[in-house]
Amino acid sequence: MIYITVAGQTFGIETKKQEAMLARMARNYGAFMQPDAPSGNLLFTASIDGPVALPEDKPLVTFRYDLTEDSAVLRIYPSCRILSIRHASSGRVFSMVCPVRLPGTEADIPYTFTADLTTQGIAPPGHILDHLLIFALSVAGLGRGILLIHASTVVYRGRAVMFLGESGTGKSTHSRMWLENIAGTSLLNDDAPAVRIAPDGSVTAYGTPWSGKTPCYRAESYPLAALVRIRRAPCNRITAQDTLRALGAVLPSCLPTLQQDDATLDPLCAALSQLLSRTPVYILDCLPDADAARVSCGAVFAKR
Amino acid sequence: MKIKDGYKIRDIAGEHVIVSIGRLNVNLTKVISLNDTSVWLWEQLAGRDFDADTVAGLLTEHYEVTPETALADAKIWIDQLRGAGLLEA
Repeated sequence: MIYITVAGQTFGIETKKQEAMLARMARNYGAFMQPDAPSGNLLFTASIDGPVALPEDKPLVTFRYDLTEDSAVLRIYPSCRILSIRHASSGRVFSMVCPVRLPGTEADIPYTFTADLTTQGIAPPGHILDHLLIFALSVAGLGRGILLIHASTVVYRGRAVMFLGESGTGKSTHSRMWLENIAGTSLLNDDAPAVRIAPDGSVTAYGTPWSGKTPCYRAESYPLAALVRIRRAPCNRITAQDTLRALGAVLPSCLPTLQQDDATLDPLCAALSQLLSRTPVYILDCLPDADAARVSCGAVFAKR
Repeated sequence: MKIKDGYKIRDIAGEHVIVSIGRLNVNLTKVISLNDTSVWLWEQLAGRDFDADTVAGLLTEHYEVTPETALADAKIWIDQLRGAGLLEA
């Protein structure tokens, strides 16, 4: 078993091809791997040597989307949800099956997922493995207050700030403006950091093995100071958002695969409800310049 | 007319809201906020066929308003739901 800890939760990957998987995963998962089984319960185990069988009934929901050049489809059945990704250049399809839990299952019982990642000759491409594990962690993490946010994240004065926005709006660029212009800033993650809402309501940001094009894989955590949604504009202006607008600003940066049916949208909204009652949300209309970083830093870290 | 299937009132950070199902490449998710009267009307009417008179009837039964005011309010409420894409037919 390969043990990986993200956002304070450990999951296990079970495979007979452990050496090949470890080699494939070393680059971005290395800092998150554990030598031994944790003392507490795992979040989930994923048996990745397949096989994967689609249920015979028709899916309740079919949701298709693109992953750069590859295509993905989420199928939700009464008994399970299955995410399949077709690797465009090889034609191979990789799937992760997440059985639906029976009502009343204790939150600390590990989920058991299956996938067919090693049955097609070679290990899956890294980005497909990443996407399937992000999905698995997101589904299992809903019961423990864990959310993955599509964001670039910096750390300043011991607290994390997440920059949200559609691809291409300049999240990474805005992080770079902080790094270059605000002394004492560091990058925590550039694509998919996690937040954890603890039972006491406190909100913590975590680095993850998933950082987009930037190799920034830090197994560290910091209290979350704010969420800032970036929009391109001809000038720099930051505005605090009320609860409703905050929700509208944050939800598009949560996984769309969790927003296709109530079984996942309900706990997602419950977690956001807790998150938004503790964490300020801003919209930053900005240029890709140093002044934008000063404007957002000034608002988030203003003395109150 | 009917309230469309698949919409659900959620309690998020103290607000009653309706969230549209997640779509890709949207910059902001549309979030619709409902006040207490709207929530009550929604609960009465979900799954039913109704028109402005139905809504006005509910309002006059439940609140101290004249039928004329109730009908005017009902039409505004229906227009707002329709504008938010929450009604069918």
